[in-house]
Amino acid sequence: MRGSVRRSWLIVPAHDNDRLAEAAGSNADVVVLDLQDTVHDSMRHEARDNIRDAISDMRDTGSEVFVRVDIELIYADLVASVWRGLTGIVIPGVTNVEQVMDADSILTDLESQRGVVKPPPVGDVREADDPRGPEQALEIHLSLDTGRGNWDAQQLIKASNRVKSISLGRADLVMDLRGEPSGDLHQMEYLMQRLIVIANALNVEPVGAWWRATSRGLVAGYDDTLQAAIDGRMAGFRGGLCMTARQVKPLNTGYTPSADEVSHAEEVFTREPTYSPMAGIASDLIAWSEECQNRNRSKSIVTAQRNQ
Amino acid sequence: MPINNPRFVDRSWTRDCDYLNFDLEDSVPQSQKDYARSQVRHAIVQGQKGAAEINIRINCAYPDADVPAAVWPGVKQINFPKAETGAQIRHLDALITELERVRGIRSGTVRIGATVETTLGVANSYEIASASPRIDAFGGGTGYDMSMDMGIEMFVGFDQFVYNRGEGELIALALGLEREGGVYMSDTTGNVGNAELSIKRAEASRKAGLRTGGGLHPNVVAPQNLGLTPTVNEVEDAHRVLSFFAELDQRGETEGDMDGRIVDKYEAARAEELIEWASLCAHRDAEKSAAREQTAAELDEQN
Repeated sequence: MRGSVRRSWLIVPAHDNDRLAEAAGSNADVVVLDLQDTVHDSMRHEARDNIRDAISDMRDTGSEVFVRVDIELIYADLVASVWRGLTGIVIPGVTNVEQVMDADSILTDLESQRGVVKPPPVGDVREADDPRGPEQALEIHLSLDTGRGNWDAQQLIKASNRVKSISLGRADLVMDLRGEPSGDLHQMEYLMQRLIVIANALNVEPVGAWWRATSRGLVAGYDDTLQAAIDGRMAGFRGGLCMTARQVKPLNTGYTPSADEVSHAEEVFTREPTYSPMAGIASDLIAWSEECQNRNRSKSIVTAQRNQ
Repeated sequence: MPINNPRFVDRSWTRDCDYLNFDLEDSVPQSQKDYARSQVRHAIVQGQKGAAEINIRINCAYPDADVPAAVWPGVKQINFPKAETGAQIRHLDALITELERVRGIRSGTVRIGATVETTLGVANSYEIASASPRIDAFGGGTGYDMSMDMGIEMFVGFDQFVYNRGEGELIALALGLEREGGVYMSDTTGNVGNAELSIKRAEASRKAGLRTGGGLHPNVVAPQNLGLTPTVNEVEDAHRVLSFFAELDQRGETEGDMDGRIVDKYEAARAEELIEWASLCAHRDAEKSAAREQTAAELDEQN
């Protein structure tokens, strides 16, 4: 699936006001308000109470907004989350198609009851009386962090038209796949390539980065995150998840083609016949670079409007 | 270990193996198959003197001849090599079920270890792994036979089985089975008695979440046992992680920084598992040690 520039997906605990404020200033393409792993059981109600305002706040800073729900508490989490400005939900721990269909059905009810549709891309304007199309359905992102979920990825994606992106989520942690002496996470090479192949085959976006064991993925520092993003882009990802605001910049940078890459692609595109795969690859890179620049501009416009 | 070699079998109890895989397959020539089958009950007795679990590797081509020779009280697992279809496993299950009934072995006691060693087996891995409840562990196809089937060299200095390993382990995870296999380590020699490589591979495999390993030479038993057992320092560290996480939980927090490491519920679960695994290893070592001492004492008495 192409069309959205989502280089950085920042997961932020929805109960933590300091982290929410930090996320609002993070410049993330996507902010994922978390109701799952980073929220202690004792803080769940507070987290749900924060969601509606947080969606609006994040949207105002030019980020698309997703909510990560707890699959065991999905009804309550969705009731707390489906409000104007929400783009979609992240579902971790999925193991069967019924769970995806159930989420789809709850979203359909809530969209209808509350008149919520997926907002247009950040910076775009859509009139309130424009006809509603299927592209305005709230999205589902499947975080395939279990063995069963990964094995059945194709069926799970096909279970709902809302599924537009997938990731391995915290597969290394949930599936207990730890570091190898080489520095790679055990089986990650296989799992990431499998995810990318399946995502492309079914026209959904693969989300992830080439995290190394030594940088413990989602909380890695600047350099490790930048490298994970660059390697991830080379492997076929166009954006990755992160847990701290400081990782947003290296993700945005790593997933955006560098000036040298663009210049090289332009050279190739000029030199090679237009029907050649090399020209096609170069053309894709140039187009992606332009989309990234547009995304940066739209964020600036939205932020400037807010500050006026 | 070839079951037709009395020298190997009679000393098997001294090897400190957690399990012994007595072989009716590749290490036994065709002319010796009948003799090998007749030696299974003797091998069970010899292996049990050291408290090893007893596995019997049969020939995939002759299950009807091998399984009746292999399923006896004391056998923990029938190892089925070159598994290629679910139908083979279901047939094996049926043979075992009948023999358990006839020979007074509790139903479900004998496990099936399905080993994938061909490309067809890799392609049918999910079907194979889910074909019987007797299968409780599964891994990807690697090794000599896999190399031969793929038409490639085995000791080439890079992991030519990335896909097979990944597929096998993912299937094990999807089905809730124990993952079998190991972390790849460069080996261009093919020396099956390489103790140094063995301990490195065992340590790496354990740290990657795996718990078992096999070998073809007595030299690799001690390194494997050592490498697959958590160290004292690791156990102490795991206790610290658990205490740290308990404090976090008490404060209503989900993660925290402990000496530069992030500790969360996953790290806590790993720590708990490591402590439990260390305790199981210690128990197993004590069990084997006691059995060997008792056997040695009995032999002294006889002499």
